Amino acid sequence: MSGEAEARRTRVMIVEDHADFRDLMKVLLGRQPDIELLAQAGSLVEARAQAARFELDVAVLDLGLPDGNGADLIADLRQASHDVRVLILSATLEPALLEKARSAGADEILDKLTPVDAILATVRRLGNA
Amino acid sequence: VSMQPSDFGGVSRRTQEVLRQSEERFRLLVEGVKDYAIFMLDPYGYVTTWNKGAQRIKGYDSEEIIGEHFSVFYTPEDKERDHPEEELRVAAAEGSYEEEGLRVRKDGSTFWANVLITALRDEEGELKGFAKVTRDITARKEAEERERLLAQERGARERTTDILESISDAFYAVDREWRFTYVNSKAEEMWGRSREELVGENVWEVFPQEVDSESYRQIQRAMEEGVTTEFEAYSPGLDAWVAGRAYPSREGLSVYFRDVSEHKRAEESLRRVTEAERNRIARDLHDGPLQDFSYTAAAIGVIMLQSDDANLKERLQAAMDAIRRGAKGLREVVNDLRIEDEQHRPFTEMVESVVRRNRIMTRSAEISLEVGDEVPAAPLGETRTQVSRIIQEALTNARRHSGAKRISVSLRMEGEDLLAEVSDDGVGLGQDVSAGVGFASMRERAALVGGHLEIESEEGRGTSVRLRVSLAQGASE
Repeated sequence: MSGEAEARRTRVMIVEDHADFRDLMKVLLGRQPDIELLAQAGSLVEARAQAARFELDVAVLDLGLPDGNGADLIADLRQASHDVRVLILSATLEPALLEKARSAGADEILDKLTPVDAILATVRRLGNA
Repeated sequence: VSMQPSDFGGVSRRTQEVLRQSEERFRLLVEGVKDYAIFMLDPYGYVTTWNKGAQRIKGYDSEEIIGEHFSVFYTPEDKERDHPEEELRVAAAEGSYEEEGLRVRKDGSTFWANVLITALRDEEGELKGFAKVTRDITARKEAEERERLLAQERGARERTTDILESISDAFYAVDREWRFTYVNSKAEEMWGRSREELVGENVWEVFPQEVDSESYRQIQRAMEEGVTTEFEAYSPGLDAWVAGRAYPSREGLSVYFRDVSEHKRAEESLRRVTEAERNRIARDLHDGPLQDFSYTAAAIGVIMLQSDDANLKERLQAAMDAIRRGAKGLREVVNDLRIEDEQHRPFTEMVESVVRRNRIMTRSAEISLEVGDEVPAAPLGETRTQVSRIIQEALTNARRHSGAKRISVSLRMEGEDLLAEVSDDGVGLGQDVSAGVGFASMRERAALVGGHLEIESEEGRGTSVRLRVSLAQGASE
């Protein structure tokens, strides 16, 4: 990260129903000087409420949420933040679900088992795009 | 019939003349009879007179037979048991003897004869000889035999019909031109058509909607190849599932079938129950343990990022690798449970779905899939599972570590061996340790199904993973 990155930090929202995983992402992203974790949610309903309040650069979405599929959020997010990039972080590798997320407009799909530095790198790349 | 000359004493000459003329007419009458052999034997069985009928039936001229013993008309078996003499004994004792039996002609051929032997005695009761009347009844005997065989056949057919009518399977028979020759009542009932309507009609003209169905193909095959075939298929005409068998026969084909819709429905609902149960287990594993495993792996990763202790980091890395392996194994279980009707899923479809999943997971590389024509679409059992997992692992390596732009997956057959290859245009292996771990697991999987794994990789020139596994015995699983 050079000096120009300071111009603006990447604004991120996490939607994840596994509380421990969500907290972990909060810790991980919170320590990155170029990333600002603006919002977090554990369900579709919470996520929609948060999305309306903030202008976002990157949304990190889980697919399996207690009240629905994370992919269904993508359209709502784009309505609130036009240029938001979407990273799906999912434990599911079921083709039907992943295809659904892709066609709903997900920019990147990562397995939850992906090493955390690779996840961070992807968030940065999407934030700078 | 007395042929004895009369005692003329005391009878007028005219009367004698009348009697003589009468006897002469009678002799001519007897001699002229053609349909009956009428001749006389002396008391010992030697032929003394002969007529035209005897000549015609038995083949001897009067010159050659008069003076011969009548046993020449009998079969060797009859002669052996002294049957000719027995006949004379009975006739002498009881006045006459009658039977139907086989007799022998001059040329040695046999015929069925009705034989009547009458003892001839003079006024004192002394045996003077025998009159023998023989009729050729071969035609009648043959007719009787034909009738007997016909009756037997009719009986057999009636019994067969009884059986075909009493079975709960529908049955029909067709000739080689596919015309109905028989339709049992169960088939009439299922089709709602009477046999009078059907017999003589072409089965595929009567039921055109069945043409090209699975049953049609199997029934055609039975006729064409002369083999017994089985079918279980939906019948559009009956709007039912039918199961049956087609047997080639002398005249064409015999087909038995029955409605198995009820059974199919039961199977289907059992399948749905099983599937729901599997899905529930899959969901529980996915939402519980798999999420926790994913979290744990990520948590260890975060701790490692914060640590400068190389020794600690190494131990945490090992723990993370273990938790990842566990998570991947669990995910495979979840996927297997979720895949509908897993056991029956064709091998090629499974590989296609693996490739599809990986295409979704990467945007930087293009993944191509090529499947040779001879690669079986059968499920292949354990081989299928292990081969598709090896392909999955090879694809993960290629996506993660190679930086490849193109990854190609190919399946082809070489004799009975299946060759699966995943190759990329990436950076090649070099000394990549983590990739090495992946290869060990691939090798183990290959060994599980008796396969052999080969890895070719040069720095900067991509990597190829080649698996060879025999389908010779696994193919039927």
